[in-house]
Amino acid sequence: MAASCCTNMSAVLPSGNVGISSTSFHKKSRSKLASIPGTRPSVQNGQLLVSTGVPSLDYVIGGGLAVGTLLLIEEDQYDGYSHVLFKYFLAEGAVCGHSIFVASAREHPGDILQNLPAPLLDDVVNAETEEEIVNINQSVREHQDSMKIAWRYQNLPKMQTSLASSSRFGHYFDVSKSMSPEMLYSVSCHNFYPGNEVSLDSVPMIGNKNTVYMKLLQSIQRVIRNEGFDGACPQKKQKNILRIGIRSLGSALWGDDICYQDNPEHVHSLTMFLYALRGLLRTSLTVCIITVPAHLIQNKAIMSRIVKLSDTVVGLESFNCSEKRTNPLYKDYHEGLLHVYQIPRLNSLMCDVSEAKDLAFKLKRKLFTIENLYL
Amino acid sequence: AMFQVRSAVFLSVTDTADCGGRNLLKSLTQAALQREELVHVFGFEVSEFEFTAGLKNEDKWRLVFHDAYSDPLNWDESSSFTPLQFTTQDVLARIGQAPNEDSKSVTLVLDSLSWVLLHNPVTLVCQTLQQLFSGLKVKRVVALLHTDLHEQGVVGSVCHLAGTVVMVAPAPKRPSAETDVEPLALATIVQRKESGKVIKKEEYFTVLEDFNLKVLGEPAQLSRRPEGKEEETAQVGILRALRGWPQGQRLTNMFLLFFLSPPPRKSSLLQPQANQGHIFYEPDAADDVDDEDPDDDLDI
Repeated sequence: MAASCCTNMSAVLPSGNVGISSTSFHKKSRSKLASIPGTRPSVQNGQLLVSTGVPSLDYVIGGGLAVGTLLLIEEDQYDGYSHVLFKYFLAEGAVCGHSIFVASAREHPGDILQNLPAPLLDDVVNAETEEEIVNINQSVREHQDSMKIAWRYQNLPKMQTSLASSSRFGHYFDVSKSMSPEMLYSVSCHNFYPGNEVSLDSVPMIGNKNTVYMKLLQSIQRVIRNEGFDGACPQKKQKNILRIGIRSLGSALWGDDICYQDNPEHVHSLTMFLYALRGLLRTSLTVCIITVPAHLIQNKAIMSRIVKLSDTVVGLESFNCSEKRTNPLYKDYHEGLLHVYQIPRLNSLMCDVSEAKDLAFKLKRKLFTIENLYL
Repeated sequence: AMFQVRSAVFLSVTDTADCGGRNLLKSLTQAALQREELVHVFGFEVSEFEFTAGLKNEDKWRLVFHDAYSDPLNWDESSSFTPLQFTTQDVLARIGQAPNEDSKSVTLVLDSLSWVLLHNPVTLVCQTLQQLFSGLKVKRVVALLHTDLHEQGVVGSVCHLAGTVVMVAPAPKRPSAETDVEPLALATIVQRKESGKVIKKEEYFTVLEDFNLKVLGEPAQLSRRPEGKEEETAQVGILRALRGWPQGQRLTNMFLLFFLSPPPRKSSLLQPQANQGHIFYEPDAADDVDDEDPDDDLDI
């Protein structure tokens, strides 16, 4: 009995775990789903979580992205940083061995998959990121040791500006290097490129429905059914998770007119797509990330409907391109603000909302961090 | 930053009625010609003669002008190109007609994209542009877009597609010109890089007679002091006006200044407060204090 528990626990820990302080104390988990690599149960409500690829973003949205939910990212003005987050999500899937489905209208999905950031792995532990994390911990410890007069306050934690979850459930990536193709061989990748699927001459809208969206839904459904993510055909091998990434949904390249018209003709095509997509997600082991150019959508009612139809909603605003804030003080340390618009309540009455409301992000070559913005 | 725009795949120059971007477009065309690239110009707004005027003669043979200006809507049945023909197949067919090398070195210049957007659905135009610059034949697309003619969403959608956007605006006049050439326009360049960073830069530039581009530095360097002076003068002006106004004098006198307030209040505030509150009460006419009433004797 004890032996089987031990083997179960070793399967729980995701591969490529770099432990600074690895303890021998592990939580006993008896559920079957937890044996999927790259996932862990949430400490709040036991929901199965996957990492978004950015450990500080995982912390902000409550430990990770729950399987069966949808993460919506409202793009910054020229889709710079949101594309980086998109690539991190896919790269995390590749490292954990999940299946990947990429849908993109602007760039061919194959090009996106070739340019994924390279992970910083165990055997080639890079000193820099390790040092950064160790320095934070060391400075905390030093301050604690030096308190002689205020020794009663020694054990109170020092204010941490960088948010990170304690266990290495997500991985760190190096944006300047691209992932080696060998890593993608074992991962099953599926693409959807509207240019291939829908011919140019055909009208994008038939009646009320957008044909491109319909084809995308059908393609996703086909993949889920064929590969057994919804339990339709029992998988012989180990259960796996499908990560879906859809880029710039709602832009003109998808045949949708909500981005350039104040009163679009087909107001509901995107919302119908999201509704159907969420139904597919809830009944299968999939996680989905969608980026939407929210700043282009003229009608605010549409955007609020889209937000309601998604589970977790996060928005990026870069200081470079935002007209509102041009205070040079902001630009020194951070590159933009991260807004958390919505966090889902899954199987619970309340969601875990972090106290910090002002979050700023910083993109360095090896680290994408989200911090509390202190003025 | 102007040199970085050379590496752009889809460059969009947006202008307004106040400041035209055609000169910049011609300057970029000339730079492409000097780099020995084949340039295909689709002209909707100006004639071939006007567009090529001023460009160097020895490079002109590399420029192919597709005339959509003389008869844009094909009324005379003699036009060679109409805005409605702006589809991927038609454009690629036209580029294929002119003799060119096999390598991917065709630069497509659109003068202007506004014409195409006004006659075609936006989704189709976006798809065509995207297929053109991600295809094999065309290396770069440079398009001129008039922001006055379109809704904000349309401009936004097209610029969302572009890797680099150059927004041309009239430059504010400077009181003293340090150089002898006065700045023609202010360009705001937004460029999206591979790593995800988006760079925004503002520069003054002039297009010279021979369509060479001259960059004249950034706005922050040139004018900061005049703005500060203007602010001061505004405040000073208000105060001066108030003083001269007779009623203003009365109004300012109504506000009792601290150093003119009655002494007990002032001295009490100056003494260090020791968690006590002092109450100063001056009995007014409505209070009548009766010396014989025992209740009035209470000293609280």
